[in-house]
Amino acid sequence: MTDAALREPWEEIGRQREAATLGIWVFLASEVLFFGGLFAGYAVARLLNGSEFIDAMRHTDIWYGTVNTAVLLTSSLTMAVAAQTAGAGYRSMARRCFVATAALGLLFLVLKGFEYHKDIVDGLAPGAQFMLRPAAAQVFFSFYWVMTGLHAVHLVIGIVLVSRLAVLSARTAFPLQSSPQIEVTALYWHLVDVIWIILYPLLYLGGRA
Amino acid sequence: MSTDLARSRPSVGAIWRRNLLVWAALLMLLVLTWTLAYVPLGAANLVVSLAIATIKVALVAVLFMELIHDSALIRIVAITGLFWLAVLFLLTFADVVTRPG
Repeated sequence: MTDAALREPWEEIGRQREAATLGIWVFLASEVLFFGGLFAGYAVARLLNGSEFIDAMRHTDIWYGTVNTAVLLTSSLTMAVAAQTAGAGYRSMARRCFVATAALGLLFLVLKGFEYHKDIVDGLAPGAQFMLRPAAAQVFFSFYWVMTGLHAVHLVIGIVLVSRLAVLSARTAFPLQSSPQIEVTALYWHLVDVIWIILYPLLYLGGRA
Repeated sequence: MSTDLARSRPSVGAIWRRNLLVWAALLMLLVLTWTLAYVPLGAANLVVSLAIATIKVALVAVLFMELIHDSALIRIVAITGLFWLAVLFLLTFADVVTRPG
């Protein structure tokens, strides 16, 4: 009886799963370089712009940033439990954890939306109304909007993928225990969390002391 | 090639417990890094916050992303991403910090 998740060209589900994991890690490595370019740009900007760059950081809202970090860390918890319970065949728990993960991702976006609104009202959005005088502040907030915006786009993709699994896992015909799709989605989700873990100190923690 | 199916089946409680431990550590590190941001350490503030972030990333990568269970091939690919990121930083900074004036 061949596994329902088995596809060509693989003859054994274990090899297919290994191939899927390899493939997603190669993609994640490319994502690391993708954001890495922004990280390197930020590092150079911070180095070359001195104290005014860090002073600008005091205007980001550390409450939103910290709560959102906790939200994403918790979503990685539910995602890990979802993937592991799926692999062990606990369909109901896996489905509930997929739903929780997607919900936490949505919560992050909602909070981010409120934060962006506050940033705009405070005059921190790019444009003529930008209220901080130093040029270095403009540089910092350019990185803030681009890096958090790009992260949010990745998070939206992640929410769509996890929601798809929440729907699929409700169908008993879906081979939840052996399908490589769960691990692939989970690894992508954790990367989105990892990127935020790095963004948090870069965008929120400087200049507070 | 052994699969997850070949291992003995853990209980739902056991799965939750081992992951909650990681999550608790991550949250404690978050509280720590947030608190230390308010302690004046000069240039060390950045180093400390990035060091804590690195530990959090390592916890997520090794435990949540299950690198601890993966084959050497997978681990090499994961490390490779970091390797090329290091090359990006090395070459960029070799330029920037050695500019005259």
